[in-house]
Amino acid sequence: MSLLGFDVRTDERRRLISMAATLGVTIAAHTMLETARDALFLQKLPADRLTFVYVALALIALVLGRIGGWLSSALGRRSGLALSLTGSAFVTALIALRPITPPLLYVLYISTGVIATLTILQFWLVAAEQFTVAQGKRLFGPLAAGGALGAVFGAGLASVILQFGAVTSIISVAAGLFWCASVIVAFAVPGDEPSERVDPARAGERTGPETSVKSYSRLILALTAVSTAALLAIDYLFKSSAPKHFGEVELARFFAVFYAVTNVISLLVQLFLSPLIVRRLGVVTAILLCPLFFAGASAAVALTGAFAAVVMLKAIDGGLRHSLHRVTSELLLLPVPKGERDRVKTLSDTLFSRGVQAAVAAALLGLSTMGYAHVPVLSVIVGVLAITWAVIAAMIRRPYLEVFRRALALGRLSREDGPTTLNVASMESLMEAMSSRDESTAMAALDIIDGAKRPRLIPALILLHPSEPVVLRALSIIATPDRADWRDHIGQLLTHGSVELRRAALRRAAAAGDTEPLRRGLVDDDESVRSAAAFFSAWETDAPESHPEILRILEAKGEDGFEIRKLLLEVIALHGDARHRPIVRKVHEVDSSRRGLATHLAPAIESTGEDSLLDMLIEALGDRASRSAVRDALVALGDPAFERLKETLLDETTDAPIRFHVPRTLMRFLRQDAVDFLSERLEKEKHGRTRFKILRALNHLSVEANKDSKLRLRFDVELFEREALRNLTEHARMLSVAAALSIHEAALAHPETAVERALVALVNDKVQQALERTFRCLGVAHRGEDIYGVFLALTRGDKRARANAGEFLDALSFSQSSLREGLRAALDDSDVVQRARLLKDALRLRDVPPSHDLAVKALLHDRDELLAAMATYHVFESGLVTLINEARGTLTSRPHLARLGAEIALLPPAAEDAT
Amino acid sequence: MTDDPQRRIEYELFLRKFVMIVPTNEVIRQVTHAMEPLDVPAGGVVFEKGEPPRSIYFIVSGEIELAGDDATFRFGRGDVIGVIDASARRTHSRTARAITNAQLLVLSFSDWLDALEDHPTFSSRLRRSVGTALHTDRLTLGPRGGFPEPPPDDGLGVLADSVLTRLLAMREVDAFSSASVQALTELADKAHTVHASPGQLVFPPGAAADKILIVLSGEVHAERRIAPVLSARFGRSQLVLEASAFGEVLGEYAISAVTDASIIVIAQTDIDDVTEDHFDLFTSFLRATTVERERLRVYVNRPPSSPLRLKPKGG
Repeated sequence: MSLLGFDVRTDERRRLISMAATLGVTIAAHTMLETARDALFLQKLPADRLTFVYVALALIALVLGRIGGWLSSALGRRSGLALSLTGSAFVTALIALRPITPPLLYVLYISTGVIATLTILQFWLVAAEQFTVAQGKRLFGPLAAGGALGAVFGAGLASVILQFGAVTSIISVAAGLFWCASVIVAFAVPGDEPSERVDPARAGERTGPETSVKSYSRLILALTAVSTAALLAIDYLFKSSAPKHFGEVELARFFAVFYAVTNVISLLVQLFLSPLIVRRLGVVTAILLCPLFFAGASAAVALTGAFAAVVMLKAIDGGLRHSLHRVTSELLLLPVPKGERDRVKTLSDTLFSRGVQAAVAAALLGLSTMGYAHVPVLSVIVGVLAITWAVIAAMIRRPYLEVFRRALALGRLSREDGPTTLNVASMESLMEAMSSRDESTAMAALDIIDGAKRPRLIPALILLHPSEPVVLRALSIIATPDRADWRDHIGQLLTHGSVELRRAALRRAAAAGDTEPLRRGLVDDDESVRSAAAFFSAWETDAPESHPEILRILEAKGEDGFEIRKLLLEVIALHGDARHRPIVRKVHEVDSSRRGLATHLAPAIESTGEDSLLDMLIEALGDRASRSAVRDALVALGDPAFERLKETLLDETTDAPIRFHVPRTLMRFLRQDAVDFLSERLEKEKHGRTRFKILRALNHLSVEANKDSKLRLRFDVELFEREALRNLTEHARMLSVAAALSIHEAALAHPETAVERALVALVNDKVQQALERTFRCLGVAHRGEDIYGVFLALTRGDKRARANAGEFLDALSFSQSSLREGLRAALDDSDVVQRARLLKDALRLRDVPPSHDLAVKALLHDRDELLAAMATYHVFESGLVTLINEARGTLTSRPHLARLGAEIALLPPAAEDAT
Repeated sequence: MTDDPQRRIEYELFLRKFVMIVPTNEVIRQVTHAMEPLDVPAGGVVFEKGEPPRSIYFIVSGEIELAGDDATFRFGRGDVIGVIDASARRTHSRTARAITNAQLLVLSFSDWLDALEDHPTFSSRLRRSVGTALHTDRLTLGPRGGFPEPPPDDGLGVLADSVLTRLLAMREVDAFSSASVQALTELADKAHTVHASPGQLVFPPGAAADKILIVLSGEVHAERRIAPVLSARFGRSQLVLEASAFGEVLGEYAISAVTDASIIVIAQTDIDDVTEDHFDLFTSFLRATTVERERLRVYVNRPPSSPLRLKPKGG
C-alpha cells in the first residue's frame, strides 16, 4: 500500500515509478545541458548576447506548442513524448560531435530551451492522462520529487565530469540520458488510456468546451501569467539585492549555500508537505498558499527593507515553486476535458510563461534603466502581483466546481418534463402525421400536440377518422366548451357502433351544455350510456342524488349495479362538483365491501371535495392499485387530509403497509409545513424503511423546489448534513464488518453456505445503501448541486469519473468538517479493508470488529432484525463455538427473530418436517 | 441531447409509432431529450464485438447486420440493437455493421435505466410485457414449453417457512439472482407460503393471474388446458413458468402439487412496491429475462430480439 512512506496503491506503483524516473532522468539531462550551455556561452560570448536568445526562445515557444500538440495527436501522448526525448538525444549528440563555434553556441542555447519546454510540457500532458485528480493529489508530490532528485543528480554528475573531462563531455552524457528517458517512456510507462469510440449519447464531450470550461481555462492562463511575473520579479529582487551585501567570492559561496538549502527544503516540501496540504485543504485552497506567503513576505520586505526579508522571500520561492506551486498548477488542469486541457497546458507552458517572462524582463530592464529598480519599489511590485495572484486563485473556486459539475452532468438525462416546444417545421411534421390513416401515426401526433398544450392545432375533421382510439383521443383533447367546431360531429358520433365512443360524445356534449344528445342517450341500448345520460340529466338540479335516474343507478343490485356506479363515479370525476358529494357518500355506503372501490371513489372525491371519507382514503394507501388516485384525492382535499396524514405517520400503531406510504403522499403537498414535518420525522422516526421513505419524499420536495423557485421551500442544511454524517457513520460501521468478513472469505478453504453468502451480500447491500442515503441527505442539503450525478459517477462511472466526483465533493462547503473527512475516506479508490480503516480514522470510530468472529458477534446485536437473524443462523449452521452462547442469548432476548428464521438451524430434521 | 424541436418531434413520432410498449408522455420526453442521431454509412461499424456496451440504438432507416461467431442477423427500421448486451451486463457479443446507409437514434443505456427508474409505472408495464413476450415464445416450443426438468428431490422434505428460507429460495431464481438481499428480504416479507399435498390443486385457472410462484420445496405441476396446451413441472427454488410468470399469464394455468410442496406466493403489486425503492430488483429481472429470451430465440432458431422489440403497430 505504501511506497517509501507514500500512499501508493499496488496498481499505481509501476506507473508512478516509471513516470518519476522519466522526469528525473529528463531533468538530470536538462540540468547537465544547462550547465554546459551556461559555461560555454558565457566563456565564448558576451553576456548581452543573451537578450537575443531570450527573444528567439520566446518566439520559438509560440510554435513549440503546435509541434507538441501535433506529436501527441499524431502518435499518442506517450509515443509523442518518447519521440521528443529521442529527438532531444539525437540533437544533443549532434551538437556534442561538432566543434564549438559561436553559431553552434546559439544553437545549443536555443535547443536547450526548446528541449526543456517541449519535453516537460509533454511529460505533464502524459501525467494528466495517467492519473486522475484523486491520484494526482496523492502522487504528484512524489512524482515532482523525481524531478528534484534528477536536478540534484544532474548537477552532481556535471561537477564530477568537469573534474575529469571537457565541458562537451557533459553534452554527450546529457544526450545519453535523454535517450535513457525515451527508453523508459517507451518500455516502462504504461500505455495511454484507450481512446473511447465517440458515443453520440455523450455528445457534450465532442462539442467543444462550454462557457464554464472556457472561463476556467482563462483563469488558469491568467494565473500562469501573474504567477510567472511575480516569480520573476522575486528572482530579480533577490539577485539584484545580494551583490550589495556580499563581495564576489562570498557571493558565489552564498548562492551555493542558499541554493543547496532551498533545494533541500523544496525536496522535503515536495515529498512530505505538498501531498499533505493538497489532500487536507483541497486544490482550490492549496493554490492560495503560495501567493499569500509571497504577499506576506513582500510586505515584510517593503516595511523593513532588510536583506534578511528578501532572503526569506526568495527562500519561500525556492521551497514552494517547484513543489506546491507546480503540483497545484498541474492538478488544476486535470478536470479540464482532454482537448481543452492540451490547449491550455500548451499555451500556459509556452506563450504565457515564456512570453510573460520576456515582457517582465523587459519591464524590469526599463525600471533599472530609469533607476527605479530599488528594493522598496520591487517589493511593492511583488506584493501587488502576489495579491493579484491570490485574487485570481480565489476566483477559480467557482469555475473549478463548475467544470466538475459539467463533467458530472455530461450525458446524464435531463429530467425535463415541460411541454414540447413546436416550431413551424415540427408542426408540419405533426400535421402530416395526424392526417395519416395509420392509427399509431395519428395517435402519436395527437399525443405530442396534447403534450405541447396546443389543442387548436387539431382540426375537428379528425373526428371522422376511421380509427376509434384516434377519435376518442381527439375528442378528449378538442371537445372543450371554448370550441364549437367539434359539436357539428356529435350527432354522427352518437350513432357510432362503439359504446365507448357514444358515451364519450354524450359526456362532452353534456358538459358543453347541449341537451339534445342527453335525450338520445337516455334511450340508448347500452346501460352505461344511459347512466351517463342520467347523470347529465340531473346536472341542473340542486339535489342530484334525488333525481330518479340517479336513484335508479344507486339502487341497482349485483355486479351490474356496481359496474354502472363505477361509470357514474367516472362521470362525476370528470364533471362533478360539491353538489355530487351525497352521491359519492352513497356509493361508498352501498359498495364499501367491494375490492378496489377506492380506485373509483378517489377521483370522484377529488372533484367533489367530499372529506368525510378521509379514513377510507388513507386506509386505501396500502393498496397499490388505488394509491395514485388516492394520493391525488388527498392532495385535493388540502388541510384536513394533510393533518390526518401527519397523525397517521405519528401513530406508530398504524398498520405498517399504510404508514409506509404516508411520507410520499405528504410530499405531494409541496408545502413548507410538509418539508418541516418530514424533516423532523427524519430525525425521530425509528422504523428504518419508513425513514427511508421520508428521505425519498424530502428528496422529491427538494427537486420540486429546484424546478419551481416560486414554491420557496426551505430546507435545514445543518439537519441534513447531520443526517448525512449519521448515515456515513453507518456506512463506515457496515464497511468495517464487510472488511472483517472479506478477510475471512479470502482465507476460507471451503465454500460458504447459502446463508453465509446471503449474509455477506446483505452486509454489502447495507454498505451501499447507507452511502446512498448519505448522498440523498447531501442532495437535500446542497440542493443547488447535482449530488445525484456525483453518486452516479461514484457508483457507475469509470475511475476518472469517480475521481472527478470525489474532487467535486471535496470542493463543496460543509458545516461539519468530519463529514468532508469521512466522504474523502469513503470515496477513496482503495480496497474495502483500507477504505474501512480510512473511514474509521476519519470518523474516529471505536469498536470496529477486527476479525470475522467479532464481526459476526456485532451483527448478532445489530438493530436490523434480518442481519441479526442471519448472523444467528450462521453461528448455529457453521458451529462457531465461541459465539453459540451469544447467539442463544440473542434468540432469547429477541424472540421475534425466530419469525425470520433464525432458529431454523437449531431444529433437527424431524422437527423441520413437522413444521 | 437535442434541443431542436423538429428533431424531438421526429424522435417522439418514431418512438410512439414503433415501440411495442408505448411509454408514457413523460418517459418519451425524457428519452427523446437524451437521444442523439447517428448516421452510419454502408460498411460503417456501430459497435464492435468485445466492446463494453454503453448505448442502445434505434434503427430509423437502413439495415444493420449483427455478426458473431455463431450466426449473423439483420435488423431494419423499428428494431433496437445493443440492448441485449447492455441488459445482460456483458461486452458486445457481436459486431454491428451497417449494410446500407443507416440512420440511428442513440440512447445511453444508463439514461434508459434512469428513465425506467424515474417512471415505475412504465417499468412495471415493461416487466409484464417482457414476461408476456417470453410466454409467447414458450408456447411455440411444444407442450413442454422448453422448460428444464425440475431438480431431483433433495430429500429435505417440506421446508420450514420463514422470511429467511423464502429469501434463500428467491436468491436461486435467475430473475432475482442479482437483486440486493435487502430488496429480496422486503419481497420475502410481503410474500406468503402455501403448502399442498400430492395431487392437490393449489391454484385453479384464473386464480394466480397477478402472482408469481416459487417452489420452496417439493414439486408442482403447471398445466395450460387451452390451446396451445402446455404442461411443465417445477421443483425446489424454481420460479413456476420461469420469467414468463411476470407476464400475468399464470391465470391461464392450473397449478397443482406433484409431491408434498411449499410454494412461495408473491403478488406482482408487491414487486412493484419493492421496485420503487430498490430498482436493482428491476435490473436483475432485466438481466435474467434478456438472457432467457436470447436463449429461447436461439432455441427456436430466430434472430435475437430485445425487450424493446420494435415493430409497426397495427401492421
